[in-house]
Amino acid sequence: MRKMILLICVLALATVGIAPLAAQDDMMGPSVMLAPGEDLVIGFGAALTGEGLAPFGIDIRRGVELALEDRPTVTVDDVEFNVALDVQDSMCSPEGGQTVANRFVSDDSIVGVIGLMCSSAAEAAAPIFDEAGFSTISASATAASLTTSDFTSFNRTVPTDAAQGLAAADIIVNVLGATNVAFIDDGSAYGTGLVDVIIDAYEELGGTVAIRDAVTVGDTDFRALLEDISATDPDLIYFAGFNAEGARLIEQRFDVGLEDVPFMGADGIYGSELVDLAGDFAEGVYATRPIPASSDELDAFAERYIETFGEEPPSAFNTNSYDATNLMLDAIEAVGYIDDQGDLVIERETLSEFIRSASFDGLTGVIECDGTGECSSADIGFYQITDGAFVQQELEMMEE
Amino acid sequence: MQETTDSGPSGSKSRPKRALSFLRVQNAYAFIGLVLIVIFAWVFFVIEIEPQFYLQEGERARYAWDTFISQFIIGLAQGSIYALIALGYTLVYGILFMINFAHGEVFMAGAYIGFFAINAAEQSGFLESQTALAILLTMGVAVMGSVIVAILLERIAYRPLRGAPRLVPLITAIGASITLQQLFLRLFGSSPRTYPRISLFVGQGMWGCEPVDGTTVCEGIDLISKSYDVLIFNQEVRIRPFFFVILFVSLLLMSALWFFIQRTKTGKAMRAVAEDKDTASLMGINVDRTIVITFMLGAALAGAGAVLFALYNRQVTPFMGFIPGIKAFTAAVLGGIGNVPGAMFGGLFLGVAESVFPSALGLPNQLKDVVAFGLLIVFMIFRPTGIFGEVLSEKKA
Amino acid sequence: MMNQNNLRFGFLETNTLRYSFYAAIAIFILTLTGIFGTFAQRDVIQDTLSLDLVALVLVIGVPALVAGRSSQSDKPVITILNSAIAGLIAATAVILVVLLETIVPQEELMFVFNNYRPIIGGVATLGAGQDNLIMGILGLLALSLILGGIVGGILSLPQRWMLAILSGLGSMVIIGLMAGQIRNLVTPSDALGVVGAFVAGYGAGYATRTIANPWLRRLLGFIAGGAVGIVFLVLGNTGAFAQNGALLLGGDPSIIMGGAVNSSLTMIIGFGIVGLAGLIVTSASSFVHNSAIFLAVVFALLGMLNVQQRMTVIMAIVTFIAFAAATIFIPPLGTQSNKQYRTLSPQQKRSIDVITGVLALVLALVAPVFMGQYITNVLDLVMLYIIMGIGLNVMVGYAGLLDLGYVASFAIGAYTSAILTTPSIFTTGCIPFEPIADARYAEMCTGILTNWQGVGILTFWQAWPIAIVVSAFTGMALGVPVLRLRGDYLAIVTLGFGEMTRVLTRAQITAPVLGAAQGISPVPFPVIDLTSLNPDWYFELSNASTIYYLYIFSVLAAALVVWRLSGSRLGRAWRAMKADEDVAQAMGVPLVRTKLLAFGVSSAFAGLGGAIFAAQLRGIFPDSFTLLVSINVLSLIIIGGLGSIPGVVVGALMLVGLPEVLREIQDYRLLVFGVLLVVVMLLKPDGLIPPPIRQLSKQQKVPQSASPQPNTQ
Repeated sequence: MRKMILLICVLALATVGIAPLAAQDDMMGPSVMLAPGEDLVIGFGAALTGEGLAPFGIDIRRGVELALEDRPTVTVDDVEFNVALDVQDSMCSPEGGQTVANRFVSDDSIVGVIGLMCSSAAEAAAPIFDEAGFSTISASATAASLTTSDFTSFNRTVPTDAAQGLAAADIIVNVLGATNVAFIDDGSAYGTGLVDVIIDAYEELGGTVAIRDAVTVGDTDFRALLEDISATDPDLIYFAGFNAEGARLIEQRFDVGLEDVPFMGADGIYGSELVDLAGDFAEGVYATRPIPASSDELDAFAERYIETFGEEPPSAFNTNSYDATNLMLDAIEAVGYIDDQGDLVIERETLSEFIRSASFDGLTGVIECDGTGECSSADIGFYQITDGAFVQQELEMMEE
Repeated sequence: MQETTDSGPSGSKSRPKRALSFLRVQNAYAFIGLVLIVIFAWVFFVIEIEPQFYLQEGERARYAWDTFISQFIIGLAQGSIYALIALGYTLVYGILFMINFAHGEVFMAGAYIGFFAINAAEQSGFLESQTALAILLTMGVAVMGSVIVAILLERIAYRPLRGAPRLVPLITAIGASITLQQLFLRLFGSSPRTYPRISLFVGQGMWGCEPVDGTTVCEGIDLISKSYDVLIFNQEVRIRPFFFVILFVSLLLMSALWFFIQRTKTGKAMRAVAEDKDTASLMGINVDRTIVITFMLGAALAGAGAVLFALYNRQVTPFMGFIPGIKAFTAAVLGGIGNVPGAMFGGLFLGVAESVFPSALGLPNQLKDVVAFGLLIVFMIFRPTGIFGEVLSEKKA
Repeated sequence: MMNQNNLRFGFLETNTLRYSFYAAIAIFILTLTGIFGTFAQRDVIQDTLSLDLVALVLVIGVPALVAGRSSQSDKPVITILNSAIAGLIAATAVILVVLLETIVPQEELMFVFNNYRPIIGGVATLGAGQDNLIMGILGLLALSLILGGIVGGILSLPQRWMLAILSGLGSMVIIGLMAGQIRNLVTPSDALGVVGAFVAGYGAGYATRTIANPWLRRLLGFIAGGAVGIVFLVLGNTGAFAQNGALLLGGDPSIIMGGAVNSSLTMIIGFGIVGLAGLIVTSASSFVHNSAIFLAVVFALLGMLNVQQRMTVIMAIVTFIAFAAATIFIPPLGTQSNKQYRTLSPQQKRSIDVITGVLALVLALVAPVFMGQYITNVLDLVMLYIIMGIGLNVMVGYAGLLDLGYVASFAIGAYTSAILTTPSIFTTGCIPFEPIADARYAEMCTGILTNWQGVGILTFWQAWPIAIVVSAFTGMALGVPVLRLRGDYLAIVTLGFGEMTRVLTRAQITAPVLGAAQGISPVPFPVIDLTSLNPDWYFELSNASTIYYLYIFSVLAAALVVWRLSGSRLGRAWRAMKADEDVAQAMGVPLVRTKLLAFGVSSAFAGLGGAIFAAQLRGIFPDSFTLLVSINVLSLIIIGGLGSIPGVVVGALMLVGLPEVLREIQDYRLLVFGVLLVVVMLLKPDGLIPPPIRQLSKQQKVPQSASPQPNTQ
């Protein structure tokens, strides 16, 4: 026993002695250098396999691909560089996010990262990107805490949940006139966070929460939950979550006599996927999503999307990732320079600074980064499924 | 010794004898009776007595009989599907003493293959014209698909390991489960596939007459998709006839299985193999063949269950087998693993418990799994080998 | 295992037909998953070899390999013919898909097989399109025959040559796939210096074989290495390693010269130690010898890769030759060193073993300097699972209690530590938002940024032991109600604990304590503050390479504790209980206490791991605590070999490390992972490294494949 304690002590000492070796280890140069002819690599991290969320990841990736189709190269001081994409599956878990972040930061040829997709993954990854001086632009991580935690690497082209939540609460009370609302989330960081924000604002506007509950992702039979909801006679069912669970709730509410109660969701259920899954049952379902009043570019983009990929976008995030990619490429073109040896140099710090103060007209409205990483200033659009497609609704306030 | 002594075929000689147990149920019925009495007493208390203490005049109680009845019926439907899957676990366990972790994926495979069958039927218009027949055919195809997957599973992942330590087939089962999930994901894509919405009307002219535009139209009752408001015990409850279809079909299949095991020669062979493989093979029973048949039976029930499940919940994904698989496994253990009536009861009970208890206990529905597993633990304390127990001459390692 | 009923018709063996038929079905399905389309984008060797071609070669080569291996003929011709036929049959599966594609309309095919992309025109038809499809098919058939024949030919070579070719090809593909990740690990100058010192020491070892005094030899080895160090230092000071890499070859500037080691003396001592290692292996067991030299080869290759920056054709050829040569030449050298090792007295053997152990430890400790964040991070996760595996081994391997809910203890450790260390910083009541669409929003604000309201009063070092103790006691408390349960009933109840953990960590009602889905974040990282001893001693364990030390320390401590425990009275009581509870009780083993201690000890390790995990992630989210964790830990101890500590290490490398390596094949990684899980268990039912035979000696039956392992330290 004494030997054992001794050995443990020696180990501890040895560890302490060697630790500074690694602590001093400064892996990353502060800048990326590219010889002429080399590819400029941008990282991309999203959930591409696994249950439920993969269609979102694929949709976000398609947005990036379309952006790269428009701009296959960046030109700095008249030298062209091909842009290549390093696609990684960050899953929707903090470990997944961290693994992918570590992978990107240990490859010092990666200039910047589009992603990560899920808030939990992004939150775990942000300190790693911070330390390496990287810049990331997410098209879908909406958790409010991401931009209030002083992460230097994190930026996003999608409004925070707080924005969508406030708008949704407003719509619930003032447009739909519901004051006894049942809230359901899917137990994810996105779902619970959004419902937290909405309830806060909703109660301030005078609504009462009929019931708050959650479903388990991957579960199939929500009828018992809906029975509980139906016992509270709600004016509206609000669901913060994604398509698969949303479609089941929408459909199963017919089995418990809630078919006349309107159903509303957020950007998590916006997209053709929901209509594919729930079919006729989805008629009349409401959703919000961040988007400007429809523009010609947006319509053209939607057409191009269908033309290229042969289907309606399964989610709403492809436009955000298109903007994110353009923001990244703009920033690279703006801060990159050619040094004496003819190499392209991109200093990470200036890149980060540029992104944090960038401003341009994107697909989702004016992209204007505010220094905390919040870049989207998009309005919240309000939609209803009419004849099998989401149709934007005019906001008519119910003033009395 | 649990993991290592039963290596080698002759190792089973030293094992305690075990079998699918069918007889020792008297105690179990008493236990079930007790549990049901406690539950109903509690529900009665919550609905009839408790509200008198807090309810204001004119307020409606959160939890009332109609909610209870609806959730009970919903739970029965869900539980029937659990039971169908649980039988697969229990049959295999009864014979091989191994947890077939990939059984949930056999269920999933049935649902997928059924989807392509019913989709083809829909495309060709056959579904429209001969609905009942098309559904039966779909079920047949799904059963076949599940059976093929199960046979392959047994042949590749389990048979070579029959003499290995007990935990080893558990790991191949987990590996096979991952493989099947990922294979289906790669083959058929990550987006859920949806079964068509089918209407199957019965009883035209008897029930279901509705006044439409002034005239009375008697189209009968839609057995599958529609739901109706019905009075049960004087409570208005929304009922989907398909709840009962699931229950009925499941009970039918389970009775068929019971009959098969009890009355047919193959069934006897199965019981003999479960009792003692070596002796059974000395009696001229082909042990390998019997084991394959056991897998096939379990898979057939899972395949049929998968079609019921998919007609009920419509969405089919590569991961859909996971949660029902875990639940069914729990149900099998709840009833007493290796025991056919136990699996049936365990499945139904778990389904009802999940559906009814969170509300009855005033907890959010989010905690239904906590309630279900909490119950399992409580039951295990009182009946450490499941409600119906298993016939163990000595003990279980 | 493959020779049942192997009949032969002419030259054709039934095994060939059987295996290639199975393979053909598998390949047919695999092709329908769109494997060729997915892999077409990915290059293994820059602009020369793409991954879909590798896939095609594997698809044809593996059945040929299996068929050739199962052939019992002594005549190479027959092996070659059988392999060729197997390759041909495998290729027909691909051709069937090609035919399917021409018959079935594309939309219908892609409706059913969502990921399928047309393969005509790709590698599957050797680039031939619809017009000359016949030529493409014939070409593929011819190719498969030739390829199968080549595989058969390789199989007919002497075993060592065969292994050499296969390992050369395999490592070429792996290094090619991972090139992006590993190209910056080792700079050419460092590789040159370190490998140089190693070779110098190795050479010194051979030159001084005749010297009897081992310490004198070791000194000489040290000096040889140190001398290389001095040369390195002198060259380095001239700037040779700084800008354009070693000897103007290119590549990154030296890490060692660039400040990783800041004093010349330390550097020379370091090189001396490498030289010493080179000398020691010349008289170590063959396992130590061979692994050390393989490591040196990999090190050298990484240096070369750093120059090339990508997998070029030259690099591929060099990799192939290096690995093939290593496979051919190292084992004979190893035999030689092993011979020398055997002749040593037990005392000398022991001293060599101790030195090897210390050197291995030093290697492990300096490794993060070279490995970069990504690989270190993967190793961190591997070590986390090693800790948990060691813990669960106590339950399952020693005490025979099957636990499927190990994640519960892990979560308790992680959450305890997070709750105790995280200060609450988001409790400010109201955060106003800019008006978004409507001026009315200006009035509104939201205070909900996190549900977590923390206490956060302790440092990591204070919280860590508490987390361990809390885990241990909850483990025991959970053990109480299930004391009577045995076998699979225990498994399902523990699975229930795990599932309850998953739900409760997400639930709204626990949100004020556990933070629900948003978790607890940011958990502060551990800080070692020894500024009172030396003003420079202030270390933040804030990233993968620093937290690595916490992990490696914990792994060693855990292994030590369990190793000591397994031989103790308690350990024997566990094993007795596993063998037979009733007999154990009759012999005076207190069942209740012994069981509860198994629960407690096992949970303590999970808590230990969990606390570090919380600090590593710098946040705790319920997504991390799923059934998959329990399953992974259980799988890794069984794959490694139940009850064996080295087995846990190998199992963790396979279950946690392998999926990361497989990341390179993207969408297929989990599929391949699942298949490998099955295959490994089929081939090695007792695990990769079963526990020493000593523990099994009491049993009547020892599984046949559990042959005694070579004593490999």
